[in-house]
Amino acid sequence: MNRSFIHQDQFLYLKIALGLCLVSILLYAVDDPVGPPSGNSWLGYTLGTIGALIIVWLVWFGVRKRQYTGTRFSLTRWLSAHVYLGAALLVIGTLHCGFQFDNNIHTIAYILMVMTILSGMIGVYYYLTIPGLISANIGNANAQQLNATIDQIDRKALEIARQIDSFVHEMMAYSIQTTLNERRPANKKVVMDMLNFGETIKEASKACYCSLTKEEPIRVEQPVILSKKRAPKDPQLVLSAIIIDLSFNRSPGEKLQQLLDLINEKAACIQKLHLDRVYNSRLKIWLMFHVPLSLATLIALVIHIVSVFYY
Amino acid sequence: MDTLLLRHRERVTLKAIAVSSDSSSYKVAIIGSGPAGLSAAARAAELGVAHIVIESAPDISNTVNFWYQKGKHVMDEPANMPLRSSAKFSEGTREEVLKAWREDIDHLKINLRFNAALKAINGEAGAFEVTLANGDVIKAESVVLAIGTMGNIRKLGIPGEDHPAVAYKLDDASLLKGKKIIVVGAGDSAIEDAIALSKHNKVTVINRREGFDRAKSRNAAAILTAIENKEIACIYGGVPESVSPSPGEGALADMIIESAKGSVTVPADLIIIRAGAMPQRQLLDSLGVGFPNEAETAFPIIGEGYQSSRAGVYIVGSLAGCPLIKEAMNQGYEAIEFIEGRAIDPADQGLLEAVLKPLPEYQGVKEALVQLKKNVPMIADVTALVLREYVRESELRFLKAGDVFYKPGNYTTGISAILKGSIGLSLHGDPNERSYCYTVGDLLGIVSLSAGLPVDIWAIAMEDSVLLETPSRASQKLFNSVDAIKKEIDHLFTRRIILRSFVSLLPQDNIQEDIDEMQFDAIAADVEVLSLKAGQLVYKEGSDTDAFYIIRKGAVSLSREFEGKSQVQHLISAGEWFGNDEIFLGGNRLDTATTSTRSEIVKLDASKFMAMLARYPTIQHAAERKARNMLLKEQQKSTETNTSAVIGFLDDTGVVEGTNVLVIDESLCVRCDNCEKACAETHGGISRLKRKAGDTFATIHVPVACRHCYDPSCMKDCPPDAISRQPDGDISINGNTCIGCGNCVANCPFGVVQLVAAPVQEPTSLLSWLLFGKGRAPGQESEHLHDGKASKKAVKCDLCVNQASGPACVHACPTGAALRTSPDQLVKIFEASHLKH
Repeated sequence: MNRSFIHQDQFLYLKIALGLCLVSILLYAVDDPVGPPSGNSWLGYTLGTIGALIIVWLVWFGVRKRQYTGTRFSLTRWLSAHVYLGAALLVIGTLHCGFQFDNNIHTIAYILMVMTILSGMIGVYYYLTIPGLISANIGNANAQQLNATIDQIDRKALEIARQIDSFVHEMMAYSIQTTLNERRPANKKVVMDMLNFGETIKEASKACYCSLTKEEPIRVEQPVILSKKRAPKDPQLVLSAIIIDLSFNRSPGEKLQQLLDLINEKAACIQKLHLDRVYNSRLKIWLMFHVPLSLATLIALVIHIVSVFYY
Repeated sequence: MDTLLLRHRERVTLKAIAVSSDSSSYKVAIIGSGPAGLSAAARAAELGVAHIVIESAPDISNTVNFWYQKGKHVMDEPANMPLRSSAKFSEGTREEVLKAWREDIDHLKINLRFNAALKAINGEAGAFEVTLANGDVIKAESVVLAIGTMGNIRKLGIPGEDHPAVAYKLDDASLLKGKKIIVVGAGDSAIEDAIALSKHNKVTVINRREGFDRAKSRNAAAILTAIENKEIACIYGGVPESVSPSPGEGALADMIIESAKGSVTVPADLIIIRAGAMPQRQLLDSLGVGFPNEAETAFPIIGEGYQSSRAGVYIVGSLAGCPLIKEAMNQGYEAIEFIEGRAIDPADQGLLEAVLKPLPEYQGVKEALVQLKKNVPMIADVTALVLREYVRESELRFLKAGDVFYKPGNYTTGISAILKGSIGLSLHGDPNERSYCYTVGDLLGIVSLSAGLPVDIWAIAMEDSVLLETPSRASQKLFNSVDAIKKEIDHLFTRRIILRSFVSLLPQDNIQEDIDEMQFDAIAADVEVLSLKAGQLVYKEGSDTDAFYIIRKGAVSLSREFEGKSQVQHLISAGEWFGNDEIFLGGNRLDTATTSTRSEIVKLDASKFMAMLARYPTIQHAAERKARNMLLKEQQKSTETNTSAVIGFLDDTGVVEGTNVLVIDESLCVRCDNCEKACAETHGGISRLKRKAGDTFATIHVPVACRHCYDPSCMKDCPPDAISRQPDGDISINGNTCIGCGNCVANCPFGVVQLVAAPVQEPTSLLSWLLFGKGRAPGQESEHLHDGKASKKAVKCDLCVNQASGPACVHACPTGAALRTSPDQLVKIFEASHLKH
């Protein structure tokens, strides 16, 4: 653990960042500029220059991350410094502007910078918490193995369902089809899939329900699924509910019990898979904010500097 | 049934014709039509010598023809060796090579007989009677054995086995879809074929027995699951009876199988028979060909002119320990020359001259070899052929007085024989230190070579010295060629490894203790070497203590009972000793010792060792103190069940076999795959590690990447000897000499070696990609890097030895999750971090 980017070099970069903040605050406290504190004083210019250099260096991380050869310091070190110096910018930037905010490009640049830093902090939080959650969730397996397990369960369940009767078989087949669509390997569409997940449950339950009533083999108490307060998170559970209903209307044979067990097992796997996907996408999603924001900050910074010197 | 009967009848008549056509006798009978056999036949044909080539397969050169993949690029290594043969051979595809040989056969009118397996050789030189499996007898004055080492494919010997739908191997499972396929066999290769095919085909496995216990447990589990899930059908207790063309439209052939349930007919488009191969050793022993020892890897004894220990029987090619095509062809040619009574200089004369010329007082190859035998008593008895190869593969090294030959932490990459001067060994590399001295004729690097251990001592030239350095495979071959050498090396190894353990007892500040290697000679001569399989017991907790153990190869785990559960306490790797603490302190065994992998363990008598130790009171004292400290530490540790579990994990997954293992702390890994990208970017676009694959324990993940094992399986069967341990300890594959045979890929138990066509990485401009999205993203694997014609080579992790910043995967990890470390360091890191699972 003490090898992580947080602990890197015995918190060397935290110490540097804290030192930088401390010196800035001290100078800010003792400095007595003409007029209110602002970027216009010698201290304002100094802090501004340091801040701007740090921003450019922070953005350079995107380039460094992709340089795989001929680099001296490890990426872990870079990230450690990136995190702590980035956080220090909150202090340096704020002191640089002397708490002067207005409706202008300067404040926009400041806001963008703060948003970037905040999104970065969310990233740090995710980086520190989610890896452990992923391991805790799927244990020694990985998504691929889970998928393989589900495939196996599907096959067994379908075989058992076939032995029960053609209706249950059809339902099972339908359910497998639905979850198959869900389980497609996630890539860039992962966010979209997640958003659609709730929709699919509704669709699935509706479809299950319709096909039940249309065929009218057994009358199902109308609100069984949809009225449940805790809506099932997964189409598998929907199916499981239906089959439970079915089992009330006929003798709950051994086969049916086996099928239910399998479906529950699968629901647990799907839940894990789903969580895994959520966790993995969280590790990436914050970057979709952090990177554009940091580029926007860079652009705003350039405009800010040009306008300061122009006027 | 009618057709079957007809076939039988046809066979009978064919056989009758064959016998009558072969009553004539030949000057030379050549067994095997591979590169060596064909080359011998070509020379014989060219000279007009009456000859016959007997080939058990239905086509020439079984290994190239049958085992090589279609389109495989065949190399002509070693590049500096000239080809001396009447048959043609040059680098090219498998098909081009075979075509050239077929043309030679036609054009030289080589007398070839297919489907003729050798059964026995009777008679003596000048009047041999070669008996074939079908009973035919061929008379010949001399016999050239060129049967290779691949063994003969075991056939079923059932009617109709020559049907085109019957095959003995699977070329490419992905090409077959929607077919009915029968796989006969229950071994690993049968299971692997069946599973690979079952994805897109209807597969039936015929298992002669009731289970799959002959296969690796993982394979057995996989096929049982597949059978349970009805993905693969299996006929247990099934014995194939015959194959006949299928009368129906649905399949090509019908196989009739006798099983407990009676006779079953299974239609199939393809029948794959995986019944294993016949071991060569058995056949050779029955032919009266002598071997230097019982080692499975030993090659037959071969004397002057390729003659075996049975006069008149010549051995050439890979059976003669020469797996490369060009060399094998040279040998075939030369063997015929010798049979014809012409003693010629071997083709490698020039190569030997190049090696030996820099010697002081060099007078010629012949003289230098004589001198070498005189100087190095160990090799005095080896045959000319072995000696020549040994020298050919070697290199002279010149050291000035004071030059460091190796130092602690280095790995020696082979054996070095001192030809002139002397080398002093010392613990601290201090010139004033008293040290042991090796002189002319002594060999260095034995421990490092045999156990894959780093050197723990300084070796410094005491005067201007000359050494002959030989890479590992050539050295091993030399040792295995003569029984006496093997014994001597074993003894030397034991003596030195005892010395090593003894030195490890020395207190840090003591550099003046005078230790003589020779005093271990008596102890080393009286040891027992245990060869154990994985999971075998060495000793039990609570048993009597009478011996020390030093691991020569493999690894051992020490476990202890806690509340009825056995917990692993320690992993002992090669070169280390165990069972010593109890002896220093007295008392019964504290742990149970079990082998983790196949191991060779040296067992030393405790009383003898202690008697010798008593001569060094300071060392004895230090040893006892060390043991006591160890015991104290262990008492604290025994409550740490997590540590024991992680050691168990390292043991189970074979991590303990590695010297340098890539580990990912999953509690830090953000799954960005930057490690893989870094690897791809630094290795021609193809990553040599697979992050997602591999084993996980708690948050410790061991991805699939080379572990640089102590005793690397990849290295064991590399024809051009392209895999070697570098002085820094990394196992590296030499891309220039690799012939892409795939042996290392098959042999590595951890799946870390891959065959890839030499990549043609397009250069990527980082900024133009970042700013304009032009070109390939850094670290992105490109699928179109090669044109398909380039030859494939084996690649694996090289620890980024060329990068100043160390392994790129670790260097490019943003969160510090990835590290490369040794298994014992890993345990320490784990203990320090107090990870809970």
